[in-house]
Amino acid sequence: MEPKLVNAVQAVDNTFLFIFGVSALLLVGITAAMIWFVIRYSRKRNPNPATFHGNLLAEVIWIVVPTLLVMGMFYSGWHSYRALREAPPDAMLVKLTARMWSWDFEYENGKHSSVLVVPVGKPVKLALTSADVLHGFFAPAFRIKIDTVPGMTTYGWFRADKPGEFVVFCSVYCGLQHAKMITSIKAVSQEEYERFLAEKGSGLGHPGKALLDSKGCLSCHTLDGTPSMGPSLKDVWGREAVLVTPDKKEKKLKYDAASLKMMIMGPRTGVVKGFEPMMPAYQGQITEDELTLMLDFLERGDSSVDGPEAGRAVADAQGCLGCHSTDGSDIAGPSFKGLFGGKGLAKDGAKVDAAYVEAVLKDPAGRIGKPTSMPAYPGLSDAERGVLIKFLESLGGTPHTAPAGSPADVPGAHDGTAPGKGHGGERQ
Amino acid sequence: MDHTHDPQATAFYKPDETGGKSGLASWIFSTDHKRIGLLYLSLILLMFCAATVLGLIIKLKLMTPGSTLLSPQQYNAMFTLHGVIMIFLVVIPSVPASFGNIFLPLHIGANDVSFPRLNNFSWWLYVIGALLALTSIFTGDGAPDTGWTFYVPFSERTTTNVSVAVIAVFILGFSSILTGLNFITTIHRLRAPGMTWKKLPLFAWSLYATGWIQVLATPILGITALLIFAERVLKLGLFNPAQGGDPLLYQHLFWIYSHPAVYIMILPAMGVISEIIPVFSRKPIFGYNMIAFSSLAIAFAGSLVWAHHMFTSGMSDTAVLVFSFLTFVVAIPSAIKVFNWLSTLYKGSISLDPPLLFALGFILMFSIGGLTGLVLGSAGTDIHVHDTYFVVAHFHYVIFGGTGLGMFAAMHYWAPKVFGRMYDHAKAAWSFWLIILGMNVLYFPMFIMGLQGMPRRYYDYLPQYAPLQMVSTWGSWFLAAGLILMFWNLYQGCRYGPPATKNPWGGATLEWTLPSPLQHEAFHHDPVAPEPYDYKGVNPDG
Repeated sequence: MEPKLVNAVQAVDNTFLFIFGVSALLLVGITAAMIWFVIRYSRKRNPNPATFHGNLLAEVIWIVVPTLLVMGMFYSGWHSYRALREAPPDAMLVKLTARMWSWDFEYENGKHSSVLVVPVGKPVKLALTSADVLHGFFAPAFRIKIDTVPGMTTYGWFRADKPGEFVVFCSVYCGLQHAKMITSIKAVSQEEYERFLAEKGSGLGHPGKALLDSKGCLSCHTLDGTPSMGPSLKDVWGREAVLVTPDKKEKKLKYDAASLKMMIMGPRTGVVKGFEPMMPAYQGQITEDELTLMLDFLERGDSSVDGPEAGRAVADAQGCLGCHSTDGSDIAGPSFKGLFGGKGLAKDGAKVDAAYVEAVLKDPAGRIGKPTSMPAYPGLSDAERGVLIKFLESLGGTPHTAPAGSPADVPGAHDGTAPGKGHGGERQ
Repeated sequence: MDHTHDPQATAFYKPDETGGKSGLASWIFSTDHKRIGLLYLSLILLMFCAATVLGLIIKLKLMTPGSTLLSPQQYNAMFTLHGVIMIFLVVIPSVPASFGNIFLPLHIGANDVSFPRLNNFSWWLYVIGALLALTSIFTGDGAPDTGWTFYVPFSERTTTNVSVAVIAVFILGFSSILTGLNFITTIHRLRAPGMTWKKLPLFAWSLYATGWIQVLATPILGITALLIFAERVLKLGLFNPAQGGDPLLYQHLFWIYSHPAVYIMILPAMGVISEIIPVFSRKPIFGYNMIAFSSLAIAFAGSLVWAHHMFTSGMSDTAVLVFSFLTFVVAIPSAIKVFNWLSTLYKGSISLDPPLLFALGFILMFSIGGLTGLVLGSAGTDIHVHDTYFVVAHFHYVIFGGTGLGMFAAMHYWAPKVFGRMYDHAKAAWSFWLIILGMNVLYFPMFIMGLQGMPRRYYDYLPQYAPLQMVSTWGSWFLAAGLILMFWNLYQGCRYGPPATKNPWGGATLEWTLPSPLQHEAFHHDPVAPEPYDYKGVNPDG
């Protein structure tokens, strides 16, 4: 067999079978012998015990035979380990940064994603590191597990031989949400992979734009004003168009939130004049949140790159949302919803405003005045900090009044104090 | 038997009429190895019950996916406490500190250990360590949530009460070191005339090997725990890459102790099994030399395999090669012991009394635990199952199925000697079968889930693991029922059971020449060293 063709998963599984096979035989043998001796040599059946103290030959046999067996296991295990370690030279490189409690994959063209998308049949070499504590990249389907260590790069590789979605766990305990640090490997065709790579990533670009791309909208609707299979989406907001209804009547349509939602999600009242009725309804395929992002992009265009939605993208990319929810529930840190303008966790009782957030981002423990598990974010650019703060500001809601140090951890903490949260009686 | 007086009246746990301390002080300041052993035993069992309850709550929480019985933070603290208490307060001291203290001197014909006051001091260190560990739960910003392994950098960053917990570990380490030192010296210096090394009971041999690991490896744990404390308080940066430190260094230091520590946990239990099997087979132990030697071999080779906990950590492939190889080497002496125990049964005259039942349970569970350990020693397969339920299952088979059942076997073997009363055999057998059933239903599904990828230390899990998680939780209930029955039966027996004879099982080691219960002073003059496994002329007198 050519070394390059070694199937690592197969090699590992062969070692499993070898060890389990030998173990099962030994276990059955040991147990059967034990039971047989207890019955056969019970005091009733065998009142007079033998008196021998040992048997050299027997002892030599059960030293030599297990030694040979375990050396075989050692070799087999080492062989399959090599297969897991030696990435083929044609492997594509993906960089992975793990952080509490999400994953950031970076592809060769600089694109980022939180789910690992790979082409089927192509070996993928992973270069892993961590932004905070130890994590572990564990993809059971490919038998690989590689710890991510801050300040160090570790390596591993795998190859998806068939398309599909394969779970990825964090294997090294990393604090509160360790159990939710789950993502997946999506193995897709080469064409799909290339399309994915070409999509704008989630960086500072508008997430609604990325969604328009990933949902396939942009294959029929351009962003540069030229009509394609469908009308261009450039400056679509507020534009007027003529709609042809099913009974061939023409009526005017102004593009706004309601009409765009109707056109995207359906049911549609007609087709824009000059185009074929070929667009599918996206009801059920685009979530309400996604639609909001898309509409925000269509309304504001790239100019909203410094708007709150861009701030959400920053929060997502930096992993903030692993600890801070946007729906008012406390995870590890206080929810972003209602945080702005409310009372922060700071010992001095300061209100949360732009200056406060900036200070916390630079030195969390220093600003809050007590130890915290939140890391500092010195790498954020001024622009990124700016949009992040705008994003926090945009999340209105009830000001955060829960006393510091009593987040959702304590059962009964919600008794009657948080109407509408629906937690009542859930634990008792 | 001596008919002139009732041995119960002058038992070592009754007030000593010849003067000295009385009341509580006669216990907590006692230098009597038997009393210290009992003090350890009661605290260890108390801690065992507490940590078992934590384990049961964890299993209850995991019964269904999405359960909200515990919040994530509570769950993380709870598995940390379960581990810390079980490892440092229960399993490490278990057999050596309790039954080792009571029976090691008697086995070698001595009236106490070499340093009785140091022995009392060790117990006090244990108490202080235990109190500090409890303090860490209820003070500061919440109970530690790092797992019992205290891995950096998380343990440096978490705001929970890790600093107090690692100081507790530091102090508990010294308790263990001093006990080991005491035992080694005792075995060297206090053997009765004629008690040559080849007449030393195998239990003493196992404690001797254990003692060396305790003395040589535990200081490294102490230093490592202190380093964590220093990192948290002084921000030294030894393990912090931002300051030029190395997180992997911590893992090496931690496992240089903590792998040998699993042999501290298992060797004394193996010693108990080596005592029990020949007694109930009425036949000399098969291959005495090889069993004694294998204890030393395990202690030695077991100190060289620590980094097999780190195959995925990012250390070099060469290190993986070496540590995988050495791990397989240490498997051999363990296998030798199992075969020797089986051969001791062969052509014996076996009476399936409760101590033997538990000992045979040990062999079964330890074999499963040991054989699945081969999967973990093999580099390629370890990558897949490392940090999954497979490891959790393996560890519980070895430590609960091994050390735990070894401890229970010791309790059933020696209870009549210590307390002078006999428990109910039928109930003991019932409790054994419940425990074996419970353990297997609880832990075996974890092997399967681990192979399917279920990571450990998850407060919630994907729906695909739901059926096996549920079965595993049922197992925990059987296990709990078995434990309750066993403890209740032992308590009833030791308190109200019929008087036990001097030698109810027909053991040939020296403690069986003494009255039941044990008296304040064991040997009034030097005993003659017996052949410890020669049962000619020695018969059960019960």
